Amino acid sequence: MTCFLRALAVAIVTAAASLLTACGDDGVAAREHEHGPAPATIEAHEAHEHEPATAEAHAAHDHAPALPAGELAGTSLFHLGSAWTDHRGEPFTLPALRGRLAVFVMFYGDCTTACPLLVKAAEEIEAALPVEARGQVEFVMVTFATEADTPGRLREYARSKGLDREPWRWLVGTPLQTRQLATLLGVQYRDLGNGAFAHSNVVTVLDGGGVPIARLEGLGVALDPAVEVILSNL
Amino acid sequence: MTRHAATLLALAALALCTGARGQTATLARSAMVQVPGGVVALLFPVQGEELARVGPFAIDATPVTNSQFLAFVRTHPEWAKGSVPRVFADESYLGHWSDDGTLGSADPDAPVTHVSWFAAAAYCEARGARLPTEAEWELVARAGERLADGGSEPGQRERLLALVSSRSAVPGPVGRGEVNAYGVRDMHGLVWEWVFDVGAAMNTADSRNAGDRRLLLLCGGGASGATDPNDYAAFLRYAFRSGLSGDYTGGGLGFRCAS
Repeated sequence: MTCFLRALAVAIVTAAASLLTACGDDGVAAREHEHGPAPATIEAHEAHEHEPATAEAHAAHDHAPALPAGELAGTSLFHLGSAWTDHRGEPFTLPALRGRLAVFVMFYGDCTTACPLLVKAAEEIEAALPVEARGQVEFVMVTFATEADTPGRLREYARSKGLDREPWRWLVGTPLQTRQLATLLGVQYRDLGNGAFAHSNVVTVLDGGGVPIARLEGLGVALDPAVEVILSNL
Repeated sequence: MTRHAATLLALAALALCTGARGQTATLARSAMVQVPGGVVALLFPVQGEELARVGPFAIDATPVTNSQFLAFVRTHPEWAKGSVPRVFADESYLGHWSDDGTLGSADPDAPVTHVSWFAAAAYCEARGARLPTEAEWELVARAGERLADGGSEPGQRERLLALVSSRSAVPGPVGRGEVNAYGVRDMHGLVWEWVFDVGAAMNTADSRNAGDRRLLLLCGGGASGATDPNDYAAFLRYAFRSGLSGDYTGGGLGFRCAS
C-alpha cells in the first residue's frame, strides 16, 4: 500500500513536470500557488553590490561561429554548425547537407542487437528509392561512442556493412555535440560506462533546410512513411 | 501554516549555520569547488551497476546568475533573447528579462532561469567548462552539512525536502542558501538545475523495447527499481528531469557548470 501511494505521488510529480514542460510560465505559477510565496527571510536581505559581469572567463574559449541564422528555419538542425569527423577522418558539418535530404541514425559500433537493425532500416530506405533519387539523399550515421568509435573504427564498421561508399557518412563528435544532436533528434541515450549505451531507436529524415520531416521511433516499424516523405520532397 | 513555520525555522537555522562558516556570498558566487569524486548510488541504477563511479571534478559553488549570463549573451549574441533559434530554446527563453535584452527587473544575483539546456551547455562551453553529469550533480546534491555522505546525517532527507518545498517562484540571490560539506551552495533551495545528460533516462542496455526510466517513474512499480525508495527529494529531482526536453525554459530551472 505504501508502495502504491509512493508510486502515485511520483506519478503526480511526473505529471506536474510534464505540465511545466508544456505550459512554461503557467507551470511555474502553479508551483508558486502550491508552495506559497517565499518566506520573508529570503527576500529581506541587505542591498549589496552588483559587480560588473566579467567577460574574461568567456573570452578564453571561442567556439564555432554562428551560422547565418536568418537563412535557416528556426527548427533547422543546421543551427548546430560545429564540425564532426567522418569515417575518412575528414571534418564534416551538418550545414554541408544543405539542399539535400538526409536520413539520420544514431548508433554505436559495439552495439550488437538494436544498432545493426537501425542501420539496416536506413539501408532499406535507400533500397526503396528509385535509382535516380538515390544520389539526392544522404545517409548520416552518428555514433554515441565518442571515445571508442574513432574514424578508423567507423570506416571498418561501414566496410563490414558494405556501406563505406557514397552517399553514406559515419560521424563521430565530441560528447557535447553528440548530446546536442541526440537532443535535437529526440534520441535518448545513456553511457553505461562499460562500453555499452542504452539508447532509443530513431530514424529521422531532414529536408534540405535541416528541418525534420519524418521520424520513425522503435525497431521493426514500417519504413514507408519515411520513403514517402523523401519521394515527395525530392 | 505549520509547514511554513517549520520551513522558516529551518531557514533560520541554515542562516545561522552558513553564517558560522564565514563564507560570503561574493566569494561563493564566482568560485568553483573541487570535489574529490566518489561513488554515487543513482536513484534508478542500471542493472548490475548500482553504484556510479565519479572521478574528481570541479563544480560552481553557486548557480549561474542573471548577470553572469548577461555577460555571456553580450559576447555571444547568437544566444541573445530574440536571436536564439527556436530549435535551441522555446518562446519563454529569458522571458523574465526585458525585451531589449537587459535584465530589467530581474535580480542580477539570482540564478538565471528561463534558459534551455542548449543555452546552459553553450554558456559552460564558452567558459571552458561543461554542465555536470547527472551522477556528478547527484554526488554533490547528496552531501550533508558536514559529511560528503549526507545520508548518514540525521534528518538529511527531511532537510532537503524542506528546502525544495520552500523554493520561491522567483528565486532570490545565489550564495545565501544552504551550504553543504563540499562548500557548494543552493543545490536544493533555489531552482532545479540542468545536467549534461539530458535525455539519459534509459535503464537498459541496447534495448529493443522502450525500457525507459520515465515508465519506471510513472508505473505502479515506480519505487521498485529505486535504490532508496524513501528519498522523496531524489524522486522529485528525477521526475522533474525526466520530463524535460532540451529546448524547454522555465522560471524554476537554472544551472551551474562543472569541469
